[in-house]
Amino acid sequence: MRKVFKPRDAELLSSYLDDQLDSYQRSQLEERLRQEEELHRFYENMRRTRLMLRHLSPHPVPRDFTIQRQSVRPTVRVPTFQAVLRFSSALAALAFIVLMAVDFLIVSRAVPQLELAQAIVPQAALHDEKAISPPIITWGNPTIMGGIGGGGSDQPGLVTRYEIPREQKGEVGEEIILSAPPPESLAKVIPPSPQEEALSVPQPEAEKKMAPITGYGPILGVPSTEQRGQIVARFPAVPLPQADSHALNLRWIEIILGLVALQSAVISFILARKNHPSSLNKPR
Amino acid sequence: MEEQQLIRNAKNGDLDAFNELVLTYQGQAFNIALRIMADSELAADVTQDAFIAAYQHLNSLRGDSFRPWLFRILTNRCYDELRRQKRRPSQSLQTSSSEEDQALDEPTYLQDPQNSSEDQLAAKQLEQAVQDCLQQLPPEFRSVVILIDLQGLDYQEACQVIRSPLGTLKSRLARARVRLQDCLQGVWELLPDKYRLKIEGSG
Repeated sequence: MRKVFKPRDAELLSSYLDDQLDSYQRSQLEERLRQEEELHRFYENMRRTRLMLRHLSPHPVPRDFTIQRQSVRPTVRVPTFQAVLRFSSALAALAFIVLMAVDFLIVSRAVPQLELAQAIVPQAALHDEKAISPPIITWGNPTIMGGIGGGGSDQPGLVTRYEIPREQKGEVGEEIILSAPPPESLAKVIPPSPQEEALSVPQPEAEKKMAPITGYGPILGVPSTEQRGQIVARFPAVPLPQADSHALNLRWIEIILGLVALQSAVISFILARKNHPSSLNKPR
Repeated sequence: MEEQQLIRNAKNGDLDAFNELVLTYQGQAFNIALRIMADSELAADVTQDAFIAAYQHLNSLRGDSFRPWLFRILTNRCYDELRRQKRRPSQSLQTSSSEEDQALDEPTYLQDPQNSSEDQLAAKQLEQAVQDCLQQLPPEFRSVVILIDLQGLDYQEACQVIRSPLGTLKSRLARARVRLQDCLQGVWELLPDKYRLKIEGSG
């Protein structure tokens, strides 16, 4: 059975054939070749293969490969200035592209920030509302017909006010429906205010006694005279995004680079046209 | 004129000086291309291209010897052509049975009238067998064995041609020889004794 040799053995034998081993390696390999018959046979085969390859004679050249002057394009030495221009054009174009990409990335990153801001503002507003808005109270007692809006009832509107205990006051936006006056809250019935009394009297008299509404209530949200005309900040002051100076700078750099790239490319093109071999043959 | 002087003159645009270099190396260059490409017409075209490219890029030759530098251009051109053929395989419409082509394919010893017909036949068989076996090798192995065993370049020059370290070259050469050994195993026995002795004597 034929022994399969390691690539290392083949490499050693190959180098031995070409006399590329040092004296120690050579003596070791020669010792092995004397002892290992298979290795010696392998070596002999390799030696014969090398002999066969080396014995092959060269083929004659089919033609003369010498170069004719007309077959060689004259080598045009590119002026240094033109080479620099060409390089600067390429560099500027590359920088322009990179800056455009950076600019695009900045814009794409700014969009989520804007969305985030839009999401934050209503929450801030809600928070603000919690702080200053009064609870909404719906007077939904079915036994009471009419109401403040009036109408739709034969009986005169009964305006009933209860002082709501503190713990019964709801949170912002939470409706407190008083279906019936709770026994505890009925304990203290607030007497009607002069305005309410005026409303309950027949109209002509009410017109005579009508005084300008000066108070303000939590339900109607009518501001007091002192507060009228004042601008009350309902939302926390969120700083508006300023025009990004970096983006502006980038724009300017882009424009400058684009112009440099264009200008140097045009100059390089004109110089290349001037120095082109075809233009050298033109009669001047 | 010595080679360095020819190269200097050629760099200054002296085409005649460069053509002297071409005449010196065209035989080896063509044979390398022929062994790699296995097609004499393609090999001739690639060789011509390589010489033109060498002339046009002569200024890039700095410090290196001319021969490995030229052969590097040549082998690279051969690989490019092989890749191109692999991408777009084409069959030549022209048959290669003409006398001219046959003469082109025959090495010098086959044309030697001193060789007996038996020797010529044996040499032709060997030539065909070696070429077939070379074609079975991967191109990087093929070029190494062609440069060292067929063209007789030393290891250092071959390293410069293939631009690989010595260890890589040795490894590739050994593996190429083992593969060729397997491929050519039966050929040796088929050769006439007289011819075998001749080969042994040449070694």
